[in-house]
Amino acid sequence: MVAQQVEAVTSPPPQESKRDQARRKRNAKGQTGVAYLFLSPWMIGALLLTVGPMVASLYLSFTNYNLFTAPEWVGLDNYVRLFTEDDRFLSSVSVTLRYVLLSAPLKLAAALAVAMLLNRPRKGQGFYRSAFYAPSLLGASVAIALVWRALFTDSGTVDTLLQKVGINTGGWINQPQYATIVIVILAVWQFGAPMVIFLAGLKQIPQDLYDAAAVDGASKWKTFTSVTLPMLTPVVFFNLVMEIINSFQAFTGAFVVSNGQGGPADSTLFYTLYLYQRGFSDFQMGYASAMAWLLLLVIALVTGLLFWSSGRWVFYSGEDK
Amino acid sequence: MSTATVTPPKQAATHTKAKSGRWRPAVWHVIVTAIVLLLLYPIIWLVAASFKPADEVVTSLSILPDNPTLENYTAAFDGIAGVSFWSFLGNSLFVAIGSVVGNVVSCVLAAYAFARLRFRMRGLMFAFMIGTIMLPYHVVLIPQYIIFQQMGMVDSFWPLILPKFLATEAFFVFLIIQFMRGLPRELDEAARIDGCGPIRIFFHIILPLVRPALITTAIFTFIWTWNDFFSQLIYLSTPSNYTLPLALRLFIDQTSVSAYGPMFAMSVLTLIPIGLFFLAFQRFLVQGVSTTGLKG
Amino acid sequence: MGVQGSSPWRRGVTALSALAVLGAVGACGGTNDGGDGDVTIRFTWWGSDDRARLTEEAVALFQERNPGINVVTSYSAFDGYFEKLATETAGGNPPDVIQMDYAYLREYADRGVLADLNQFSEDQLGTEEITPLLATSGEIDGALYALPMGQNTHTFAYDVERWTETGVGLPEPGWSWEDWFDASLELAEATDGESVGLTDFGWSWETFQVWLRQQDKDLYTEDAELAFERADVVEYMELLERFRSEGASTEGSVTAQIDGAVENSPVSRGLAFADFSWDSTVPSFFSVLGRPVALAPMPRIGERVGQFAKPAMLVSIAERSDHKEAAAALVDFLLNDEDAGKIQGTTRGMPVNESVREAVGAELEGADEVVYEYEELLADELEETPPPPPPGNSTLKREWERLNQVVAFGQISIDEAADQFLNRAQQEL
Repeated sequence: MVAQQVEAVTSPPPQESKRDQARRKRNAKGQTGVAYLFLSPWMIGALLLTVGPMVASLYLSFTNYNLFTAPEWVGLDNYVRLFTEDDRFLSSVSVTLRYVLLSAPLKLAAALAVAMLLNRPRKGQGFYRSAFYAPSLLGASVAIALVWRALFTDSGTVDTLLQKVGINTGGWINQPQYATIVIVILAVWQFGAPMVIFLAGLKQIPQDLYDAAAVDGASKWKTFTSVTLPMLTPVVFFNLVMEIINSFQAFTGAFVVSNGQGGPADSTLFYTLYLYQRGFSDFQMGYASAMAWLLLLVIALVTGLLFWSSGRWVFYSGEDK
Repeated sequence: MSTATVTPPKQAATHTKAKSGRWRPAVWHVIVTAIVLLLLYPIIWLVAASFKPADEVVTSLSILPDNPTLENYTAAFDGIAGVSFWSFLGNSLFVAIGSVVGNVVSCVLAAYAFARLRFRMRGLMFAFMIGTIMLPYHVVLIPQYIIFQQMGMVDSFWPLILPKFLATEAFFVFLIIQFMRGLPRELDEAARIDGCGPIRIFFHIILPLVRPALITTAIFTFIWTWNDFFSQLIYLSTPSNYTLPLALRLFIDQTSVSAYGPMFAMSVLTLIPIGLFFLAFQRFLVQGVSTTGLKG
Repeated sequence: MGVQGSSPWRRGVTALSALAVLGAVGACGGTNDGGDGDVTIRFTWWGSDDRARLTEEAVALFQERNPGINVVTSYSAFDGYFEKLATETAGGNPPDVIQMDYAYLREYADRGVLADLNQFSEDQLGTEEITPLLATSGEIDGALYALPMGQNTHTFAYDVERWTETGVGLPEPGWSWEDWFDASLELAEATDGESVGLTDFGWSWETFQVWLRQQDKDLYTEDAELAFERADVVEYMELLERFRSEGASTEGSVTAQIDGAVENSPVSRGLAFADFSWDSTVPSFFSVLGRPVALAPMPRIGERVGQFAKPAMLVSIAERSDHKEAAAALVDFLLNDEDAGKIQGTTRGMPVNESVREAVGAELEGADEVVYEYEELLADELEETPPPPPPGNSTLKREWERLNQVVAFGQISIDEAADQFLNRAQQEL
């Protein structure tokens, strides 16, 4: 029995029949009104608060805008300058890409592992869940910045511990080759958000699928790969998309390590940090907007690929069956 | 993520089974406690630092204070320049609770439309919604400020709360959508055959089932709003409107004498409400579909 | 749009226009006149809780004396202050009275944000008693866009007790860079290299400026171009490199942790004996170290000290302010009133009004007294503030800090760094 269900879970959704398509069309017409009713807060928000500022920033990306006097049209100038004249831009791209590739998978793996660990009915679960979430309560506050410095500076806690086993690094946050790692550790440490989402997703998996697997004598690993993971794919997909977008926009971590300067030696100059410096310290909001839209394009491309691939591996039990 | 590629480690499975029994939970507790202690170390450091006197806070390397003191807490409770700690706390609570209500209500409505209803321009609108998360916040800040300025809402809580009632946080809309898409369609179909319209389906079937997602939304909104510094800094000007994150920063200004001790103390005080909020709501997370009696 | 869709849609539009109307009505609130002929002005500054308390006290006194003027205050830490100010200004909603930084003054003044203070009479806004060293520090092309709120200057602050313990001779005014180099090596030797004499001062753009001025050069010409050459950059960086490589100043990984906060400076951490600093931050050293520090003037090349009186912070009035006269009255009060001066003390640096400074100076003790005496010691040598740096300065300052870090870590050569810097300067100026 479990075999059947597993098949249903993993096989791609069957093609829609002509009749289904026709029904959908009818539905589309009949539901548009009520859909717009449900969407009305979102639509007002979009029209009032989102569309305008987005269009404005797109326009500004083609201008020279110093915040205080009227923007001056310069065409593609900002975009050209980014690639031809700006070494710091290029280095911020490489810092950010390295961060995305390291932090997103590590954080998600930690979150999923702990969620699985906490998903069993055991005594004290509420306490453990809260304890694992506790680091994420702090966000990137000034307090956590100071704690992090105390831990990872030279002769800080980590350095002292490592020296005891004969490794002398001379501190992490103060050296370009380690500083990014500290920010990755900070990000992974705060895995609470994806963990909670995984937990909520795990709880949504109907118990009878597990019962069926047990009846079939499936091993734990088999149950995990053929019931848990497939049923969890919508949530995995969500976390993946969001973590990738978030780490592309990584910003606050640099405040922890370098007080927002991007140091040491630009090793934590994240893309959005540089954008922020350009916009608010250098008063070049046009340039910053060009950076922002370039980032949007890249993220959209990556996210688009993920959405496109999701048809092959994300399983929605509520759709197209 | 194909299942075919993984061969089940059968031997290992039987091996554990043989060894299992009363030791398993104990081992589990030991492992989990060890991880927890490691993770909580920085927080313990933070709490310990809040009891250190001024000359120990920065220079002392030991985690425990040599001469524990409560003076940092006294200073934190004193507030700043005549505005009391309780005023900051009250403002933070107001903003956080308002945001929670706004986000939960507006995001679930939008999510239902995207996840379950068919309508014109759905694909386009969905793409736009996801797109709004991709643009760095800093470049839309000034246009948004101008909008709120035009509406006369600057230096009030409106710019912080109103957007939440208008589902501008696509993160949560998308989150709830993903949960709804995981709910079996048969439920809707059955209800429709019984003569329910989309509105009744939403209230009677979908809403109760996405509760874990809504709890998640509530928890995250509360905590993230609580910690949000930048937009509160931009939109709140009068000190009596200030929230905790703004007050916290005032203890450490690099151009004047900093007060690290009171800052740590206020950080700990700031943590308590969100810690309690999480403790109170996390148990609802586990009462998912599997425990509400739903059979697929 | 389907027929069915139009009804909620229209409802949305209605709600939207309702909001817009609401907004239009609300916009009439803000900082306009109250009903009884009073005016309300907004005053914003950065600083810690301590400065907030003292300033609020002074403002309360001002309101007591000027019943017709209502002052709404707003303050934040330095981090974020200028982002908020930029946003408010771009949004057409700048505060009336603005605490301003010397480095940002031109960015605002050149773009018409700030009012020319020359429009006020001496009665409205007194400038006569302001120390002549600083009086023109807010002047650009003949217009006065800001007045200083406090004075500070460069210093090498050193841990005098620890220094004395080593037996090495204490620094004297007039010491050259070479004298400092020698003393620094002796200090390092005396502590077995545990702490070196000096914090690497390459992170500081301002130290470079003093070094240039000692040779009758400067950072910028009056036409906002570089007033130094590539050879100067190379020579200065080689000086820094010599300090570092011989063990007279801190190495890259220590220097990288400097973030402007006294708490994280090598002197506070016991890794160096002296830091380049502004004398206004000295009270922080006292509270962090728990013992006094002493102040030495900058090392010199020849006779000229190259240091100048710097406005620790300035105050400006927004050009868009509807109540410039009330704003001027507040500024006048904060700078020139003796009672206001006594309340504020040295929270913004040495008072700039000379008679206020004397009155305040007589009451100072501890760290504030050390600073006061240091400024008195240098009074004859201190030079006038150079014109505010041109737009682009903040970028160059950051680039300077970065390149010095990169060189300190040995990632690029001094020649490459000099090339990169001049390249950036060409783009920005």
